[in-house]
Amino acid sequence: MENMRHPLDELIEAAWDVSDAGAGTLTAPVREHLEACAECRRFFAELRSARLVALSIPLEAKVTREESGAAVKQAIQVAVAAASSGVSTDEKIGFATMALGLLGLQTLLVIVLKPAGFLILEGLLNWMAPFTFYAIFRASRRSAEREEGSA
Amino acid sequence: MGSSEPAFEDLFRASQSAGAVEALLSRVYPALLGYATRLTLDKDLAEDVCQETMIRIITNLKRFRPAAGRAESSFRAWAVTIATNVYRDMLRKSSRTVPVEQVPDDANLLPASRRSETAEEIALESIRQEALFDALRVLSGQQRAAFMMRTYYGFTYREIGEACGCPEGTAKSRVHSAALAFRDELEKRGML
Repeated sequence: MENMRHPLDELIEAAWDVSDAGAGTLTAPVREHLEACAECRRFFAELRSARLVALSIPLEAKVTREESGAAVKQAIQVAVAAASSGVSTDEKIGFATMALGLLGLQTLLVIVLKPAGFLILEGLLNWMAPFTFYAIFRASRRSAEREEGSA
Repeated sequence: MGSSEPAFEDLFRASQSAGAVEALLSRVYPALLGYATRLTLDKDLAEDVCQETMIRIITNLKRFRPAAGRAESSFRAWAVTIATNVYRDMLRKSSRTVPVEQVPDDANLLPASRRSETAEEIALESIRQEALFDALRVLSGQQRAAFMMRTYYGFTYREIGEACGCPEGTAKSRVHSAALAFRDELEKRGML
Protein backbone atom coordinates (compact mmCIF):
# COMPACT_ATOMS: atom_id res chain seq x y z
CA MET A 1 0.00 0.00 0.00
CA GLU A 2 2.88 2.37 0.74
CA ASN A 3 3.95 1.95 -2.91
CA MET A 4 0.74 3.56 -4.18
CA ARG A 5 1.09 7.06 -5.64
CA HIS A 6 1.07 9.80 -3.02
CA PRO A 7 -2.65 10.72 -2.77
CA LEU A 8 -1.97 14.47 -2.63
CA ASP A 9 -5.44 15.63 -3.70
CA GLU A 10 -7.16 13.43 -1.12
CA LEU A 11 -4.78 14.62 1.59
CA ILE A 12 -5.27 18.30 0.75
CA GLU A 13 -9.03 17.79 0.71
CA ALA A 14 -8.99 16.08 4.11
CA ALA A 15 -6.57 18.57 5.66
CA TRP A 16 -8.68 21.49 4.43
CA ASP A 17 -11.97 19.82 5.32
CA VAL A 18 -14.48 22.37 6.57
CA SER A 19 -15.79 20.02 9.26
CA ASP A 20 -12.23 19.64 10.60
CA ALA A 21 -12.65 15.87 10.60
CA GLY A 22 -9.07 15.58 9.31
CA ALA A 23 -7.94 12.05 8.49
CA GLY A 24 -11.42 10.82 9.41
CA THR A 25 -12.66 11.81 5.96
CA LEU A 26 -10.01 9.73 4.16
CA THR A 27 -10.90 6.48 2.47
CA ALA A 28 -9.43 3.29 3.95
CA PRO A 29 -6.69 2.81 1.29
CA VAL A 30 -5.55 6.43 1.62
CA ARG A 31 -5.54 6.17 5.43
CA GLU A 32 -3.44 3.02 5.20
CA HIS A 33 -1.04 4.79 2.88
CA LEU A 34 -0.86 7.73 5.29
CA GLU A 35 0.00 5.41 8.17
CA ALA A 36 2.75 3.79 6.14
CA CYS A 37 4.24 6.85 4.38
CA ALA A 38 6.20 9.28 6.56
CA GLU A 39 6.43 11.81 3.73
CA CYS A 40 2.65 11.97 3.37
CA ARG A 41 2.19 12.17 7.13
CA ARG A 42 4.48 15.20 7.27
CA PHE A 43 2.70 16.75 4.27
CA PHE A 44 -0.68 16.18 5.89
CA ALA A 45 0.43 17.55 9.27
CA GLU A 46 1.89 20.67 7.64
CA LEU A 47 -1.31 21.30 5.73
CA ARG A 48 -3.37 20.92 8.90
CA SER A 49 -1.09 23.41 10.65
CA ALA A 50 -1.35 25.80 7.70
CA ARG A 51 -5.14 25.62 7.95
CA LEU A 52 -5.01 26.41 11.67
CA VAL A 53 -2.73 29.39 10.98
CA ALA A 54 -5.11 30.58 8.24
CA LEU A 55 -8.03 30.30 10.67
CA SER A 56 -6.16 32.42 13.21
CA ILE A 57 -6.56 35.48 10.97
CA PRO A 58 -9.47 37.42 12.48
CA LEU A 59 -12.44 37.55 10.16
CA GLU A 60 -13.87 40.88 11.13
CA ALA A 61 -12.21 44.23 10.53
CA LYS A 62 -12.10 46.52 13.54
CA VAL A 63 -14.28 49.45 12.57
CA THR A 64 -16.07 51.87 14.81
CA ARG A 65 -19.84 52.11 14.84
CA GLU A 66 -19.51 55.57 13.25
CA GLU A 67 -17.35 54.25 10.40
CA SER A 68 -19.78 51.41 9.73
CA GLY A 69 -22.71 53.79 9.88
CA ALA A 70 -21.13 56.27 7.48
CA ALA A 71 -20.22 53.58 4.94
CA VAL A 72 -23.68 52.03 5.12
CA LYS A 73 -25.44 55.41 4.82
CA GLN A 74 -23.36 56.26 1.75
CA ALA A 75 -24.27 52.93 0.11
CA ILE A 76 -27.96 53.48 0.87
CA GLN A 77 -27.86 56.98 -0.64
CA VAL A 78 -26.26 55.68 -3.85
CA ALA A 79 -28.71 52.78 -4.07
CA VAL A 80 -31.70 55.06 -3.52
CA ALA A 81 -30.43 57.56 -6.11
CA ALA A 82 -29.91 54.76 -8.63
CA ALA A 83 -33.37 53.31 -7.93
CA SER A 84 -35.14 56.67 -8.30
CA SER A 85 -33.58 57.22 -11.70
CA GLY A 86 -35.37 54.86 -14.09
CA VAL A 87 -32.92 55.47 -16.93
CA SER A 88 -29.19 55.09 -16.46
CA THR A 89 -26.82 57.99 -17.12
CA ASP A 90 -25.30 56.21 -20.12
CA GLU A 91 -28.74 55.76 -21.67
CA LYS A 92 -29.58 59.41 -21.07
CA ILE A 93 -26.36 60.51 -22.77
CA GLY A 94 -27.07 58.14 -25.68
CA PHE A 95 -30.60 59.45 -26.23
CA ALA A 96 -29.50 63.09 -25.94
CA THR A 97 -26.67 62.55 -28.46
CA MET A 98 -29.03 60.85 -30.90
CA ALA A 99 -31.65 63.61 -30.58
CA LEU A 100 -29.05 66.34 -31.04
CA GLY A 101 -27.58 64.52 -34.05
CA LEU A 102 -30.98 64.23 -35.75
CA LEU A 103 -31.76 67.87 -35.03
CA GLY A 104 -28.42 68.87 -36.53
CA LEU A 105 -29.05 66.76 -39.64
CA GLN A 106 -32.50 68.30 -40.17
CA THR A 107 -31.12 71.80 -39.70
CA LEU A 108 -28.46 71.04 -42.30
CA LEU A 109 -31.10 69.74 -44.70
CA VAL A 110 -33.20 72.88 -44.22
CA ILE A 111 -30.16 75.02 -45.03
CA VAL A 112 -29.11 72.96 -48.05
CA LEU A 113 -32.57 72.24 -49.51
CA LYS A 114 -34.29 75.43 -48.34
CA PRO A 115 -37.54 75.07 -46.32
CA ALA A 116 -39.66 74.20 -49.33
CA GLY A 117 -37.26 71.51 -50.53
CA PHE A 118 -36.96 70.13 -47.00
CA LEU A 119 -40.75 69.85 -46.67
CA ILE A 120 -40.98 68.06 -50.00
CA LEU A 121 -38.24 65.61 -48.91
CA GLU A 122 -39.96 65.02 -45.57
CA GLY A 123 -43.32 64.46 -47.27
CA LEU A 124 -41.75 62.10 -49.80
CA LEU A 125 -39.97 60.10 -47.08
CA ASN A 126 -43.17 59.84 -45.03
CA TRP A 127 -45.24 58.87 -48.09
CA MET A 128 -42.62 56.30 -49.13
CA ALA A 129 -42.19 54.76 -45.69
CA PRO A 130 -44.87 52.03 -45.97
CA PHE A 131 -43.62 51.02 -49.45
CA THR A 132 -40.04 50.93 -48.19
CA PHE A 133 -40.96 48.67 -45.29
CA TYR A 134 -42.99 46.43 -47.63
CA ALA A 135 -40.06 46.17 -50.05
CA ILE A 136 -37.68 45.21 -47.20
CA PHE A 137 -40.17 42.61 -45.98
CA ARG A 138 -40.55 41.08 -49.49
CA ALA A 139 -36.81 41.04 -50.08
CA SER A 140 -36.09 39.26 -46.81
CA ARG A 141 -38.85 36.73 -47.49
CA ARG A 142 -37.53 35.95 -50.99
CA SER A 143 -34.05 35.54 -49.60
CA ALA A 144 -35.36 33.08 -46.98
CA GLU A 145 -37.25 31.13 -49.69
CA ARG A 146 -34.12 30.96 -51.85
CA GLU A 147 -32.11 29.62 -48.92
CA GLU A 148 -34.76 26.98 -48.22
CA GLY A 149 -34.80 25.95 -51.90
CA SER A 150 -31.04 25.59 -52.10
CA ALA A 151 -31.02 23.52 -48.90
CA MET B 1 -22.58 41.19 19.82
CA GLY B 2 -24.40 42.85 22.66
CA SER B 3 -27.49 41.26 24.17
CA SER B 4 -29.44 44.47 23.56
CA GLU B 5 -29.10 44.07 19.78
CA PRO B 6 -32.13 42.66 17.98
CA ALA B 7 -32.01 39.11 16.61
CA PHE B 8 -30.79 38.93 13.04
CA GLU B 9 -34.01 37.25 11.88
CA ASP B 10 -36.09 40.14 13.30
CA LEU B 11 -33.79 42.65 11.67
CA PHE B 12 -34.01 40.87 8.34
CA ARG B 13 -37.81 40.64 8.47
CA ALA B 14 -37.98 44.34 9.34
CA SER B 15 -35.68 45.23 6.45
CA GLN B 16 -38.12 43.62 4.03
CA SER B 17 -41.00 45.78 5.17
CA ALA B 18 -39.48 48.86 6.79
CA GLY B 19 -36.24 50.75 6.58
CA ALA B 20 -34.07 48.63 8.86
CA VAL B 21 -31.60 47.99 6.05
CA GLU B 22 -29.12 50.31 7.71
CA ALA B 23 -29.04 48.28 10.94
CA LEU B 24 -28.80 45.05 8.96
CA LEU B 25 -25.86 46.24 6.90
CA SER B 26 -24.12 47.82 9.88
CA ARG B 27 -24.24 44.40 11.49
CA VAL B 28 -22.43 42.65 8.62
CA TYR B 29 -20.16 45.54 7.60
CA PRO B 30 -17.14 44.60 9.81
CA ALA B 31 -17.17 41.02 8.48
CA LEU B 32 -17.68 42.25 4.93
CA LEU B 33 -14.80 44.70 5.20
CA GLY B 34 -12.64 42.02 6.80
CA TYR B 35 -13.36 39.67 3.90
CA ALA B 36 -12.82 42.36 1.27
CA THR B 37 -9.54 43.42 2.88
CA ARG B 38 -8.19 39.89 2.81
CA LEU B 39 -9.47 39.38 -0.68
CA THR B 40 -8.06 42.54 -2.21
CA LEU B 41 -5.11 43.13 0.18
CA ASP B 42 -5.73 46.82 -0.43
CA LYS B 43 -7.63 48.90 2.11
CA ASP B 44 -9.00 51.45 -0.38
CA LEU B 45 -10.02 48.80 -2.86
CA ALA B 46 -11.62 46.80 -0.03
CA GLU B 47 -13.77 49.82 0.89
CA ASP B 48 -14.80 50.21 -2.76
CA VAL B 49 -15.72 46.52 -2.91
CA CYS B 50 -17.76 46.91 0.28
CA GLN B 51 -19.62 49.95 -1.05
CA GLU B 52 -20.56 48.25 -4.31
CA THR B 53 -21.46 45.06 -2.46
CA MET B 54 -23.80 46.92 -0.11
CA ILE B 55 -25.44 48.72 -3.04
CA ARG B 56 -26.07 45.36 -4.73
CA ILE B 57 -27.37 43.91 -1.46
CA ILE B 58 -29.84 46.80 -1.07
CA THR B 59 -30.96 46.49 -4.69
CA ASN B 60 -31.47 42.73 -4.50
CA LEU B 61 -32.55 42.32 -0.87
CA LYS B 62 -36.11 41.41 -1.79
CA ARG B 63 -34.85 38.51 -3.89
CA PHE B 64 -32.78 37.01 -1.08
CA ARG B 65 -34.32 33.99 0.62
CA PRO B 66 -32.55 33.14 3.91
CA ALA B 67 -31.99 29.51 4.82
CA ALA B 68 -34.39 28.36 7.54
CA GLY B 69 -32.87 28.56 10.99
CA ARG B 70 -29.62 30.16 9.85
CA ALA B 71 -30.65 33.47 8.38
CA GLU B 72 -27.53 35.31 9.53
CA SER B 73 -24.99 32.83 8.17
CA SER B 74 -26.82 32.53 4.85
CA PHE B 75 -27.01 36.32 4.62
CA ARG B 76 -23.27 36.60 5.31
CA ALA B 77 -22.54 33.91 2.73
CA TRP B 78 -24.71 35.78 0.22
CA ALA B 79 -22.84 39.01 0.98
CA VAL B 80 -19.50 37.25 0.54
CA THR B 81 -20.64 35.85 -2.82
CA ILE B 82 -21.67 39.33 -3.97
CA ALA B 83 -18.37 40.81 -2.74
CA THR B 84 -16.47 38.15 -4.70
CA ASN B 85 -18.47 38.98 -7.82
CA VAL B 86 -17.84 42.68 -7.33
CA TYR B 87 -14.10 42.09 -6.95
CA ARG B 88 -14.11 39.85 -10.03
CA ASP B 89 -15.88 42.55 -12.03
CA MET B 90 -13.39 45.14 -10.80
CA LEU B 91 -10.46 42.93 -11.80
CA ARG B 92 -11.99 42.50 -15.23
CA LYS B 93 -12.58 46.22 -15.71
CA SER B 94 -9.16 47.36 -14.58
CA SER B 95 -5.73 45.87 -14.49
CA ARG B 96 -5.15 47.52 -11.14
CA THR B 97 -2.35 45.84 -9.23
CA VAL B 98 -1.88 46.00 -5.50
CA PRO B 99 1.28 47.81 -4.48
CA VAL B 100 3.22 46.00 -1.79
CA GLU B 101 3.38 49.07 0.45
CA GLN B 102 -0.41 49.17 0.69
CA VAL B 103 -0.58 46.53 3.37
CA PRO B 104 -3.76 47.11 5.35
CA ASP B 105 -3.48 48.72 8.73
CA ASP B 106 -3.15 45.64 10.88
CA ALA B 107 -4.41 47.35 14.01
CA ASN B 108 -7.72 47.74 12.20
CA LEU B 109 -7.99 44.01 11.77
CA LEU B 110 -7.59 43.05 15.39
CA PRO B 111 -10.79 41.75 16.91
CA ALA B 112 -12.43 43.74 19.66
CA SER B 113 -11.50 41.06 22.21
CA ARG B 114 -7.82 41.90 21.73
CA ARG B 115 -8.14 45.60 22.41
CA SER B 116 -7.44 45.14 26.12
CA GLU B 117 -4.04 43.54 25.48
CA THR B 118 -0.77 45.29 26.20
CA ALA B 119 0.97 47.38 23.55
CA GLU B 120 3.70 44.76 23.24
CA GLU B 121 1.21 41.95 22.67
CA ILE B 122 -0.65 44.00 20.12
CA ALA B 123 2.61 44.86 18.33
CA LEU B 124 3.64 41.19 18.19
CA GLU B 125 0.21 40.21 16.94
CA SER B 126 0.43 42.96 14.31
CA ILE B 127 3.74 41.61 13.07
CA ARG B 128 2.29 38.13 12.88
CA GLN B 129 -0.80 39.41 11.06
CA GLU B 130 1.39 41.30 8.61
CA ALA B 131 3.35 38.12 7.88
CA LEU B 132 0.09 36.27 7.29
CA PHE B 133 -1.11 38.96 4.91
CA ASP B 134 2.16 38.66 3.03
CA ALA B 135 1.63 34.91 2.86
CA LEU B 136 -1.83 35.50 1.35
CA ARG B 137 -0.23 37.85 -1.16
CA VAL B 138 1.45 34.95 -2.97
CA LEU B 139 -1.99 33.74 -4.07
CA SER B 140 -3.61 35.15 -7.19
CA GLY B 141 -6.88 37.08 -6.77
CA GLN B 142 -8.91 34.10 -8.01
CA GLN B 143 -7.06 31.64 -5.79
CA ARG B 144 -7.47 33.93 -2.79
CA ALA B 145 -11.23 34.26 -3.35
CA ALA B 146 -11.71 30.48 -3.60
CA PHE B 147 -9.36 29.85 -0.66
CA MET B 148 -11.17 32.32 1.59
CA MET B 149 -14.66 31.17 0.70
CA ARG B 150 -13.67 27.57 1.46
CA THR B 151 -11.54 28.22 4.55
CA TYR B 152 -13.52 30.88 6.36
CA TYR B 153 -17.07 30.36 5.15
CA GLY B 154 -17.17 26.64 4.33
CA PHE B 155 -18.55 27.16 0.82
CA THR B 156 -18.93 24.02 -1.29
CA TYR B 157 -16.94 23.83 -4.51
CA ARG B 158 -20.16 24.30 -6.47
CA GLU B 159 -20.94 27.50 -4.54
CA ILE B 160 -17.39 28.76 -5.08
CA GLY B 161 -17.70 27.96 -8.78
CA GLU B 162 -20.96 29.90 -9.00
CA ALA B 163 -19.51 32.88 -7.16
CA CYS B 164 -16.30 32.93 -9.19
CA GLY B 165 -17.91 32.06 -12.52
CA CYS B 166 -15.90 28.87 -13.03
CA PRO B 167 -16.64 25.13 -13.09
CA GLU B 168 -16.70 23.17 -9.82
CA GLY B 169 -13.49 21.34 -10.75
CA THR B 170 -11.67 24.61 -11.33
CA ALA B 171 -12.87 25.90 -7.96
CA LYS B 172 -11.53 22.77 -6.27
CA SER B 173 -8.23 23.04 -8.08
CA ARG B 174 -7.94 26.71 -7.05
CA VAL B 175 -8.54 25.88 -3.40
CA HIS B 176 -6.03 23.03 -3.50
CA SER B 177 -3.31 25.03 -5.23
CA ALA B 178 -3.94 27.96 -2.87
CA ALA B 179 -3.66 25.69 0.18
CA LEU B 180 -0.37 24.30 -1.11
CA ALA B 181 1.01 27.74 -1.93
CA PHE B 182 -0.07 29.06 1.48
CA ARG B 183 1.58 26.14 3.25
CA ASP B 184 4.80 26.62 1.22
CA GLU B 185 4.83 30.31 2.06
CA LEU B 186 4.30 29.70 5.78
CA GLU B 187 7.07 27.11 5.72
CA LYS B 188 9.40 29.58 3.98
CA ARG B 189 8.64 32.13 6.69
CA GLY B 190 9.14 29.59 9.49
CA MET B 191 5.54 29.96 10.62
CA LEU B 192 4.65 26.27 10.58
